[in-house]
Amino acid sequence: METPDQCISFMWELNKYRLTQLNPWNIVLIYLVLGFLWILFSDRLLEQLIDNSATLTQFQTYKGWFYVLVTGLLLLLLLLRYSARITRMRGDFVDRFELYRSLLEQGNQVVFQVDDNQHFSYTNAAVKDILGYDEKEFRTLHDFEAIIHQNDLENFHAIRKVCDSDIRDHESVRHQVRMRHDDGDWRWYRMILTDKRGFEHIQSRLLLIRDIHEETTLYERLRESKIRFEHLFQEAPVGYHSLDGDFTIIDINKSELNLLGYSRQEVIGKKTWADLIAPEDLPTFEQHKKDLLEKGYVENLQYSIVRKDGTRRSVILNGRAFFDEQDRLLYTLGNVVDMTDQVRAEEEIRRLNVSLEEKVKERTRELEMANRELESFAYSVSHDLRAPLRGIDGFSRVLVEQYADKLHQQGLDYLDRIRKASQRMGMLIDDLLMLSRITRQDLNREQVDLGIISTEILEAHQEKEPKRNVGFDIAGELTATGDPSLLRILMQNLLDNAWKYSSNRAQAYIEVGRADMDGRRYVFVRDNGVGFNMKYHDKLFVPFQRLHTQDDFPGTGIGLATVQRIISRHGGSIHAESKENEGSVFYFFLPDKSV
Amino acid sequence: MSIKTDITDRHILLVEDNPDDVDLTIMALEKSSIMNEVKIARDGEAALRVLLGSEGEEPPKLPAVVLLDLNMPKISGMEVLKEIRRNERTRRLPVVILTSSGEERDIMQGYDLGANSYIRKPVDFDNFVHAMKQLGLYWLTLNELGV
Repeated sequence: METPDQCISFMWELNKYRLTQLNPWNIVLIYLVLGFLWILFSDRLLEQLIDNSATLTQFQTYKGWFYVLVTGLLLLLLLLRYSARITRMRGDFVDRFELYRSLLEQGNQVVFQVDDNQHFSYTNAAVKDILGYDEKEFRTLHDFEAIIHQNDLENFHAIRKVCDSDIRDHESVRHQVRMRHDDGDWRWYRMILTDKRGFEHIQSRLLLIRDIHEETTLYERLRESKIRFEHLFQEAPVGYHSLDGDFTIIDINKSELNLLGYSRQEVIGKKTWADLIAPEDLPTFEQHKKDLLEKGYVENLQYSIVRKDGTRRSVILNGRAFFDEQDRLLYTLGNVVDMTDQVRAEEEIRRLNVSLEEKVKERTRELEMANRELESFAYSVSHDLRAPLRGIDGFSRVLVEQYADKLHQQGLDYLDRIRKASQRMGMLIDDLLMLSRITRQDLNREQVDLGIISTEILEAHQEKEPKRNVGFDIAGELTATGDPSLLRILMQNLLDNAWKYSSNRAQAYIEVGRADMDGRRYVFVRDNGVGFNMKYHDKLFVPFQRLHTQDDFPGTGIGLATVQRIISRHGGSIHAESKENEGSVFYFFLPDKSV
Repeated sequence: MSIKTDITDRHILLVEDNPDDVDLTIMALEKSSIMNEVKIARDGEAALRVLLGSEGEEPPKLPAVVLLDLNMPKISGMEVLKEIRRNERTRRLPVVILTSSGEERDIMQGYDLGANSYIRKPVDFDNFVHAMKQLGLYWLTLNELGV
């Protein structure tokens, strides 16, 4: 497109042609002036030079011919120059016209020229590019009605109304409308109806259509994005604000206003950020200001701020500064997170921790007290419960010995039973005390070789009952971590059982070894004794629960409970596998470190 | 106080508050053919009186061994032991703790305070007789007194 400046210079040139150059009037004027001057002076000059009238007449004839010749040449000269100007001017016009025509045809807008009957008298080629339709499909403005989006009909009708009116020289009307492109898409266009005053008052009415889809959608997207941003800014649960170079609030979102308890009018341009900070935090704020100007940002600053109602909130502030070319602070953007609840929660946790510690101390005291009670109970059991048993047993014995002649056989039998019962009770008390001692005793963890202990225990059994035929198989390197005295009690109980429950085997067999299961290293004690029914497995480790009668296999039912307690005090685990009359295996596991 | 005579002239002091235990102990000693005199003190206070005598009196003859129960009214066995070891006259006197308790802390404390032996009375009378026989033999015949 030509710039307005170029247009003006072109118009100026036209005027120059019209006003200052040769034209028919000027030529005639020059002819008249020359003719008048010739007639006025040439006769007088001849009369002074020639006296003879006959000669004069002859010379006047020559002069007439000369005049005609000279004026003819002059006219020829003037007309030649004039026509040369005209030709040049026409060439200029043609060039200009071609330029504008190509601009019009190839331009980025559709141009319709509307004649007095509201018909399109001219249509440029852009209609195919811009609307996708053939130019012949549009004969009047009314032909557009079918492709206008129904929401934009109102705008279209406003243009149509002007177009249909007889008033010419109307001001331009322009509206945005969506039209269905030939490819089916709705696109945004701007329609402009404009009246142009042409050369020598010729009016021409133009309908222009420009494709503004890109800019409109871009604008729409921008507007949507702005709405989204605005929504985010205002509704985000985080406070946002912007401060000017003096740290005065110039923008603030709803969340932060809620946090501060002020209205927008009360802070914008009126409060500085420093006005909101608790007095004791002001020195820190001054330091942070310096940091911000130096680094351009600050992070995780903690302040106490004072709300409008005087209450306080704990906040965390992140900020970024923006500077001009002279490094002067233009504005800052900051976000503010209300940490009050979190700070309170942390304080609450701290408080709870303290009270938890107190509770733990209290429980520990209670536990210690319970332990002391248990200990004194065990102590008095140890002393006081056994003494009467000794009386019962002892005096029964004396009766049997010294008064045998005065008692029937049945009486002696009863006395024997009394003694057995009291001795059994003595064992029960001893075992119970053992069990309670295991619970009370402090653990000393050491490396213990269970193989050596096992050998010692089994050899002791063998020594006591040399007649029994028992085969041992004890694996080497059976080390475990635990309290040596407790682990000895553990092995003692397991091996006593193995020894006891295999007593009716002609060839008994006891094995102590290692087995890896579920990624753990277990130690096992296996025998080929009477075994037990697995459905009673749960009762095995319960104190006083026995799976065999006293007559078959005597016992107190505390041995495996003791084993279980030793294992659990070490943080380990134990289980057994057995089949009746096929023997049992006890697997236990002791962790290397305290749990 | 029950008195038995013996040619060896050595006697035993039994410090025991439970009359059943007193009788059982004497019976057990008799069954073990230990005929030495057995003096009985029914509590700690009596035991100390027997050993140390009252003021202004001639100090009594010391026993060959003291069989000391721990759990007694007034003055406990441990306190009696402490007092025996503190007193110049009795500090080398053999004291055997003869008690029901097998508690480790009693055993430890007993030895710490200078007991010469610690014997837990078995419930089974036959075992008890056996234990008393060993005890009598050792302290009354084998052992040399340091007084």
